[in-house]
Amino acid sequence: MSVRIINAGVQSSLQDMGRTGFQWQGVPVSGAMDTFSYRLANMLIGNDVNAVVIECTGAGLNFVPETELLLTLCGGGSVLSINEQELPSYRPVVVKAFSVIQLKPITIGFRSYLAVKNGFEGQADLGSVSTYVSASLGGSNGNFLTDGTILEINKSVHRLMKTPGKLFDEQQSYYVEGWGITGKLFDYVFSNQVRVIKGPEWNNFKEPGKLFSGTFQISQQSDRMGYRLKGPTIVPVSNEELVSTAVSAGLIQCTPDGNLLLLMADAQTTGGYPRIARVAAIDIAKCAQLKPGSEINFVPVSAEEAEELYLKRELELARLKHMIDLQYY
Amino acid sequence: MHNVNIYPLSETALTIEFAKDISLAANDKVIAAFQLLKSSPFPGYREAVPAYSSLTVYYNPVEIRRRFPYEQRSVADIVTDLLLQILSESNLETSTERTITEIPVCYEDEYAPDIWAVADYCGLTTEDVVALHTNHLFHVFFTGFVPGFPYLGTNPEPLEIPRKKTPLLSVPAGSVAVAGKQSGIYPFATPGGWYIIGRTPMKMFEKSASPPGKLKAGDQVRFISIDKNQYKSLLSL
Repeated sequence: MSVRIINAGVQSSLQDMGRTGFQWQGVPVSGAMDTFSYRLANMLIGNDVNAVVIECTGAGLNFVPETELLLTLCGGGSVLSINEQELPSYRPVVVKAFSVIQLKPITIGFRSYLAVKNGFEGQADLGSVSTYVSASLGGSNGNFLTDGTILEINKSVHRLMKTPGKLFDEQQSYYVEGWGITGKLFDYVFSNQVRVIKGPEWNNFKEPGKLFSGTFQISQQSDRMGYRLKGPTIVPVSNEELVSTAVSAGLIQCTPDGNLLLLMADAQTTGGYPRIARVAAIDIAKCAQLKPGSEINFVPVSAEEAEELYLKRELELARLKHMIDLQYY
Repeated sequence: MHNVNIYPLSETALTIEFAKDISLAANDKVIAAFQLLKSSPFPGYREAVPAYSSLTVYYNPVEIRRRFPYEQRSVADIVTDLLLQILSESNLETSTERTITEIPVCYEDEYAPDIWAVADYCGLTTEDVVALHTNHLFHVFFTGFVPGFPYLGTNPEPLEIPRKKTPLLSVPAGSVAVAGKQSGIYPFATPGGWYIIGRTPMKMFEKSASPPGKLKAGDQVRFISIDKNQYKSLLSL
């Protein structure tokens, strides 16, 4: 079972939940930038929680499944289309073998997750297929997808969908299941109001409040490692260098020029720049959906509130998974 | 009782800060705490990351909440108290066994683009730089920045130079460099702001090895000077 990539688009990569256990060796977690959309995608088609998907940056990906395939797309920046017909996102869809499927652009969001039944096969390194190009780990030969690549799909037969017998007639290329999940669940992801908690070095800055009163923009120098932000410069009280310590995705560092750097999935594991704030875990998905050029606004939230929101969302996702699982054997 | 400051790094991580500066004593405690957590991980423990004087502990908050369902304390507070308790029950002494790794380095001009700048700044000859660098036992504080990059210290005096103002866009893989009082080795061609004084043919990171990094926190390193031909033949191995 395989999928032929006709056009790989820009920065399409195989991802799962990430590579854990090796940050002590300088290996970042990597994985899906928007873990919320990633998890929903796998949930919707009855996949394992860590099944490998294609993370698409914007639109442009074109592919042809060589067999009939159950798939779904979750996230923003693009929608699936077959023969110029748009398919619904956030719904399981079965497509006919040899249909040409394209990702067309939409204005909302930036990253989407294409999940196929059973997940893609990729290069597994240090326990994960997540792509980390700097050290050639995971992905498709340690790299982003390229035109002409043939991706294999995991063969293990797993959790078949309960559907009526015949799905297609001659005219149809796809079949959409009658059920879906409510859009309200993921509306929150598409917003540029990002909740942050004061960082460990908040008090090292002269006017840290500029983080909330100022307007920031995601510059073109932004990628999976991090986003360089444009906006008011925020200056530390002293130029004393900090001793390097561990950092993780969501942290906002202040570089020596007074500009901000928001760390994302492929960020280095340790660093010495002062950390003015950290994005609440549940809003990192929001950041993943903002494209270069977008405005980003920060609003304060307490650590306790952020933790409660995180736990609440985990509970919601667990409940959702139970409900969706009823659609599968 | 160990004097530590524990602060949250994210909803899934806490940093245990043993000191605000760099010292072997603080790093020894970091490594001892790291070994302790790895050997008896608490339920919900995911991984830990050593740095100079801190250890960051990653955990699963859902798992913690599940085990303490009726707690008023936040998960961060529960884990903080748990870590303080674990630390207090240990004298945080590391084992005295340290792996000493010898790293061959070619310090010849072709592989050491910044060795003259370093020699000038420190008031030394390039031969002095090589002699100082190779007649020294280095301590690996931790690996970070990119996979397998070791933070080595402390450089023998007077080998001390501040980081470059403008980092190079791409430093050749294997480059051995200095900045501040530290030495480091770039495992891959990445941007780098340290002064390159040599290059090693040794692979600092191999994903098939266990652990994948050649060096780890607590190891010791000695640099051995080799010539261009030895470098080339070792590289082809």
